[in-house]
Parts: sequence; structure tokens; C-alpha cells
Amino acid sequence: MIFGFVPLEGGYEVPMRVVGANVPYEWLIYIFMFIPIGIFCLGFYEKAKVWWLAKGEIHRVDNGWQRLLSWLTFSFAQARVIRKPFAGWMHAFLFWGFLVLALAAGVDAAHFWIHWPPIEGTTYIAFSFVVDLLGFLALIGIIALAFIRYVQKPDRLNDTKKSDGWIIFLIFTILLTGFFIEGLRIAAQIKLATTMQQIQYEQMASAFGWYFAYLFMGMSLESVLVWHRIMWWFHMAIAFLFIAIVPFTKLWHIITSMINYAFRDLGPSALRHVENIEEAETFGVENIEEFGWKDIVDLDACIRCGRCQENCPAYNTGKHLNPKITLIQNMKQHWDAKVPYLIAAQDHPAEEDAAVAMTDEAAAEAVNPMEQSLLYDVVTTDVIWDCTNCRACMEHCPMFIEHIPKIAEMRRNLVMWQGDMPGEAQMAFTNMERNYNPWGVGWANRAQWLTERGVREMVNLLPEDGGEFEYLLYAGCAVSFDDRYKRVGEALVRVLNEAGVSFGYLGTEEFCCGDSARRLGNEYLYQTLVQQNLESFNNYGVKKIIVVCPHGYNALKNEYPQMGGNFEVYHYTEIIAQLIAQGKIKPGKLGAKATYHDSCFLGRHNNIYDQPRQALQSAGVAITEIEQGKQFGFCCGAGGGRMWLEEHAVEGYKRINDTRTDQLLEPNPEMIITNCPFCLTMISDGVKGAEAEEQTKVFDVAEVVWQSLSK
Amino acid sequence: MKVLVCVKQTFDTEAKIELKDGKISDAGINLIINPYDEVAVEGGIQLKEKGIAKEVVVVSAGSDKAMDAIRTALAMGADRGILVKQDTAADEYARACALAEVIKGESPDIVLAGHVAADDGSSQVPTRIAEILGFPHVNVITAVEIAGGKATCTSEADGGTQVTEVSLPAVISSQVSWNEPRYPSMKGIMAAKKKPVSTVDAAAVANKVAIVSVALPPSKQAGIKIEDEPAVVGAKLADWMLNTVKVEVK
Repeated sequence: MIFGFVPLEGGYEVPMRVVGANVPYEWLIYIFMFIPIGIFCLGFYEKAKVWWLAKGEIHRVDNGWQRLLSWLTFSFAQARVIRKPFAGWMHAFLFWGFLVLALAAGVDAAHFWIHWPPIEGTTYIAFSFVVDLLGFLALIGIIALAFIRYVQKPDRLNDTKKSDGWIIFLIFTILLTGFFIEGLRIAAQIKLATTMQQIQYEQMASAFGWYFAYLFMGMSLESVLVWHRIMWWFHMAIAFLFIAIVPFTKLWHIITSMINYAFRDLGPSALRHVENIEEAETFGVENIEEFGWKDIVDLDACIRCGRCQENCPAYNTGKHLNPKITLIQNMKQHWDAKVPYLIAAQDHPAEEDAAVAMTDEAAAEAVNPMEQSLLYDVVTTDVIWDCTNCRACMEHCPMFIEHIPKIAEMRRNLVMWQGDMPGEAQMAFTNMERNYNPWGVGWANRAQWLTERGVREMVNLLPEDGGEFEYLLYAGCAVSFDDRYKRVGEALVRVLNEAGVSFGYLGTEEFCCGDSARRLGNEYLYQTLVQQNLESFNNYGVKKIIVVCPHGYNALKNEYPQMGGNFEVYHYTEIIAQLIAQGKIKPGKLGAKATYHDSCFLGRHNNIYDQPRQALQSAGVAITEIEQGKQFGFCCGAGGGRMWLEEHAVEGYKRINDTRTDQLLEPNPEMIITNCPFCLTMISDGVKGAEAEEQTKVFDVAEVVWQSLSK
Repeated sequence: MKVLVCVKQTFDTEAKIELKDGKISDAGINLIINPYDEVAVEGGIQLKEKGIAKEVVVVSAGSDKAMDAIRTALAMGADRGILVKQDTAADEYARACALAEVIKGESPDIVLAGHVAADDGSSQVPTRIAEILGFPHVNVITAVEIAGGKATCTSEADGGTQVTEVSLPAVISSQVSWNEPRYPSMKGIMAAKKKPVSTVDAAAVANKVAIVSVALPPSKQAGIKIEDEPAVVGAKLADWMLNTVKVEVK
């Protein structure tokens, strides 16, 4: 790799790359390369232009610097990809190797023809070594990825197609022929070398290609030179093939991933806002082209790695929802089929039925995608209602595909337009509408838990007492109406009281946060409830809010700002951790062994993993971390409004809450501790079902902290 | 075929009832369609969806507030509404007279209503309407088939079911188990804003029943807890029942 072939007869004295050595007409590739580049550009244009057929509004041009940083971090540093240790690093090797090899080819050519950049001598040897190393790692990477797909066969790769194999084969061949060229050249160099140093330079600069030279040392110099030429042209041809097919194969993800990294949702976890819902004429998404452009790029970006599927509580309990296949891939197929019709409709706006504009007879015979319903035929309502909004798919997707917002848009259409929803959802909506809580208990009793639990005197009930306060305690529906969770409300009030925190409570002037309504697709009801709450908050001059339920926390913190509600919002576990750190409360030592369940809306949606653990540790609880903890936490099954829907176990599987409970019971804890009323209900049911009530008690963080304080 | 559904606006079933000046106060109370009537509305809409009925008319007698109940029924899918303005203090007789008057003018083939209202629970109005109009009447139905000018109704009978046949027009009142009323979609709510609702004054009929007074049920007394040896507990309990509660022993 140092001198090329010519200088051995005297010429180049310094180690450097001689481009075109032994390859007559090498310069032709500078012309030929425009063929694959041209095909790539045309393909890019063809693929990208259809993104504009998406009519939904998504604005992602804010925060330029942050987007640039995101693009760099996730493309070039592969920050999300490597989260999956083995497959991720192997992919990163492949990516870095390919990128560096392609750049190095350009750098070498530039140096040779225009003498810049100055890569010569030891600089060249070091440069060449690094490139060689990365090329070798890329070769290992592609072999490892083939091994994962065809030998390990993890369930997440359950839809392997022939084309996957062809792409792996192509990449492998490109890398292997690259090393063959290098090996052939080194073999020739050795045979032609006049000094030992020339050979030593080669060994240093091409430390990995060196071993490939052994394959060819037995051949005559003439054969080596001929094979080198053949291999060189073949390598170029398949490398060009690679470039040309990028837009038409799964390799397209190279481009779409970068678009996704730059234009991902940078905001906190919130569903998309609906402006002026009173005057809206459509609700949610009924036809695929009503999604925004980013949603459509998402479909192109999905590389079917199955990390979503692997972590999805619905898929893992045998439900219809599989974020990879029954959501994204089904939508992608439908979109691809529909695009020609949409273009035809756009080009012939006068035609009443766009299908008429299609002249292709073969297409006319197939299922007309214009007549296929996104909600009923493509994704199906079972899939749409299966989702618990747990965010595992979005957390682990290396492409930042936005699954939940898509589900939400389709639910919005089902509920607000089709009027089609499970009966239990209807019941929950009616309850929230009439009594401002999904349980449907009379709203006038909202503050009664205070007297029932004997903490009325500790609370500044604003409509009655009306005193000064620093924080508003937003208790939420569960504390108000769920008998089990009232005890958590009591524990929290006692802790806050002990710490001398000044707080007020709205009682009957507090309304349901609306999370369940919103997540189930009833945006109208959600907005009504938000307005009622905002009115109360503003009436009492609220600035800081402590929220008990993580669903309310997420709504108030991340979603209320869309409606003009900007407050300092804390989850109570944050406050408790802070009070302990400040020494305002001094928990005793319970000495209990526990497992901790990260609720999805506190964990993945809001990245609060540490504060509840700190609080529990201060209370003397020893937490045994389980495999499915923190980012990998498995949902209890009640998010996304599924708290109110019946879950039917699929044959051969347990229900989501039972599956989760088994994971939490695995280390035989004395306590399972959570931070969410829905989780508490679901896991308590699970523990009952597993007949483990005797050994293991289910508590909320607030209760455990209060137990330790009162000890 | 025309279906007419009578709906009553009632307090939300979870509402906290309070008395003010000897009357039931409606301050802060959410008003809803009587859940039994809601089932009748759904039944009417389903008859239309099956192609049996051409039009579903909703009629409610009450104050201006009852307009909300009519709009909700229209949002569910009824076609037209009639608000019969009447004093909310009207008794069952006066209410039935007012409704019957409107029904006569509409001459529907089927009159549907819930068999009872969730507030006063008197169960009289549909029956009285049938009586006034001379229509046959089937009560507490859980299913209905309409064919050849006849309605075949399945009703709840003591511990079983009873199938009856009546010629139309008829008054049919529903049991809640007939169907699950739908939740109005935004599409329905928007469409409802454009549907016609006419307002008429109720026929002037005097009440036959006067309410003398209303009272809230006595609040639940706290129980007692006796903790001791089983034999002692038994004795103490017996003593408490005889001397405190004063249970009559025969």
C-alpha cells in the first residue's frame, strides 16, 4: 500500500499511496463513478419527493444547533445504535469502517492528483494503519451481523427476507475484495521489493491486509498482477453497485436515519397538540397521507432491527401489536402501494376517483390501496388499542421512530371521528366528563379522602381554608377515589407535613388531568379538562405543583404547556429525595429487601430513575435491581389509558401485569415498590394472582418513606 | 317508518343530592340524559341503521336546559329534536299529557322511552302516554324485531323472558340491557349543531300529585366493633342488639 508498483523501478522515495498502480485506464473510474452517483441522486429524488405527499403539519426546523448536534451524535457516534451491546457495536464497526474506507479512498486520490492533503511518510503509514484497522473491524462487523441473523436468530429478527441476505453478501464481498486487492498488491510488492524497508513499510501500513498477501504468495508475479487488476475492477464495480442501490434497498436507512437524527422530536414526551379543536373539521389520522412528513420518513427509516418488538409489552404477551411489523411495516407497505395513486390523484385533480387515473392494468387488478382503510385493514383497531404508550419502542428504536404519536393520531380518529372505541373507554370518558375522574365517583366527594384518612388538619384545602402556600399538591383522581391509593395520598401528606413543606390542595376544584382521555384518543375531552384545571390553578395563583400520579405529572409538566399552562412541576419522589438531601426529613432504617418498578411515565417518559431509588435507599430499603429495570422496565399494562380497558390473556401467554409481576417477584423481595397508582393496582393484582401476597407486599414510595419516618 | 324517542334530563347518577329551602338543589349538578332513555335513543338509532326506521325524532319535556339532552341524542345520531317547554315541577300525569300531545302531532310508528327515570323512579310516563294515545305498550324490553307492521318484543319477566307481539304504532319502553349506548363522536357533535330542534309549549295540564316534602335518607350510622373472646363477643352482641338497637324478639 506504500509505493504502488511503478516506483519499485525507481521513482517514489517516500511512503505514500500511488493511485492507479498496475491498473491501466484507472482514470476511467472518475468518469464511471458518475453513473452510480447519478442513479443514487435520481433514486434519492424519487424517494424523497413523495414525502411531500404527506399533508399533516410537522414543524421541525427549530433549534438548528441542537439538531446538528443530534445528527452528529447519533449518525457518526452511533450513540443509539451501540445501546444494544453486541449487535450495536458490530453495526458501528461496519459503519465506521465503511465511512473511513470511502473517505480514505477519496483522500488518497486527492493526495495523488492534487498533492493535498499531505499524507506522506510516517503520516501515511499511520493513516493507512488506521484505515486498515477500521476496514478489518468492518469485516468482523458484517460477519458478526450475519452470524446474529442466521445463526443466533433472535426473535427480534423474525422477518428476515432474501434481500437482507443479499445486502449482507454484497457488503461482505466489497470488504473482502478490498482486502484481496490489498493482499495481491502486497504480494506483488514483496516479489518486486529491492529493499527490506519497502516490505517493512507495507507490513506496518497494511497490518491486516498483510495476512491476505499469504493467500497469493504462491502465485507467479504475472498472475498476481493480472488478478490484482481483475479484482480492482470487480471491487470498484460492486462498490458502485452499492452506491447505486442505496435508495432502492434497505440501505436507504443510511440516509433516512440521518434525516431522523436531525429532525427527531427534541421536545419532552408529549402527544402532538391540536390547535383550535372547536373549529377542527377532521380529527386524528384516517388516511395515511394525513400523517406528517416525518411520520412517513419514519416508515422509510425502519430497518426492521426489532428492538421495539423485543421490548414491547403487547408483543411479548402475544397481542396483535408488534411495533415493527403490524404497525410500522404494515404502514410502510400500505404507503408504498398508495404512493402511485396519490401521485396520480395529484396530477389529475379533476378525476373523481384517483384510481381511474392509473393506467397500469397490473396495478388495477391488485388490491386498490385507495380503498384500503388504514385503521381497519392496514393497522387494524386491535393493534391500535393494544398499545400501552410505555415508550419502550421509542426508547430503544435506533432511528427515533415516533410510534406513540402515530397510535395516538389513529386513536383520535377512531374516537372523535369514527365514534369507534371499546365500551370500557366510553365508560371512562363518560365518567371523566360528568365527574372529572375515570372511576366515575361523584365529583363532590373529591376531597373526602382527607377526612377518611384523618389528615384534614394537615392540609390547606384552598377552597375552604384559602391560606398562603408554596406548592400546590395536585393529588389526582387515584388519591381522591381509589381506596388503596388514598393511603398513598395520606402518607405523602404526612411526609410533607413532617418536613414543613407549605402546600395547598384544590379539593373539588381539582379535575382529572385528562391523561387517560388524551392517550385513548379523546383530545376534546382532554382539552376540556385541561382548561378546567388551568382555571383553578390560575384562580389560586399556582406557581409550583407537586403531582402524585406519574400520568398527571407527565401531562402537567410536558403537555399542559401546549395549552398555555406553564408551571414548575415536580413528581413527589423528586420532592421527597430533595427533602431527604436537605435533611428536612430523616428516614429511619427499615431494613427491607425490595424490587423497584419504574413506571413508564416517570421512567422512560421523564427519565426519573434515581430520585425514587435515593429516597428508598435513605429509608433503608435494599433494592435488588432486576434485568428489566430503568430504561428496560416492562410496563404494568395500564398506560395509554389501558388502565380502563380489559386485557384478555392470549393463549400461551400471561397478561402484561402478571408477566411484569413475575419479573419483580423473581428475587423474592419482601416488598415491591412503585410510584404510580396504576402500577400499584396492576402489580397488586399480579401478586394476588401469583399467590405471593403473604411474602411480598406492594407499596408506593411515599408509603415506604412514611413507614421509615414513623418508625 | 318514524321512531320517536322520549328522553328526560336527569341529575348525574353520582351527583351529591343536597336540599335547599326544602327542595332539591341543582347547584353544581351535572345534567345527563336519563340512562334508561339513552338506551332507547340508541335503540332508535340502531333501527335507523338497520334500515327499518327512516327518521328518529327526540322529544324532551322540561326547561331550556333539556336542550342539552336533545343535542346529546342528536350527536348520537337522532335526526331531529323537539323541546316541550314545561315546568320541571310537572308530575307524571302532566308530563305524559304534554308528551302525548306532541306525539299525536308527529304520528310516529314507534314510541320509545326508558322504562324508568333515574331520578324519581316513578316508571309511569311511557305507560301513561300509551294510555292517553290508546297505543299498545310493552315494557322493559331487551330486544325488538320490527316486521310487517308489528313489533316482536323480548321483555324481562320474573326470572326469565317473555316474547310479545304488538301492532304498530306502539309505545315500547326499554330495559338497560337492550344495548350499549354509543359515545357521541366529534363528527356527531358537529353534525348535531346543524340538526333542527323545534320548541313548543306544553299543553296546560294541572298536576294531579302534589309533593308535600322531601328529605334525604338518614346518614349511615357508624357500626360498633366488639373485640373479646368469642363467647363474650356473642353475649355482648346480643346485649347490644336487645338494648341499644332494640331488635324485636318474637
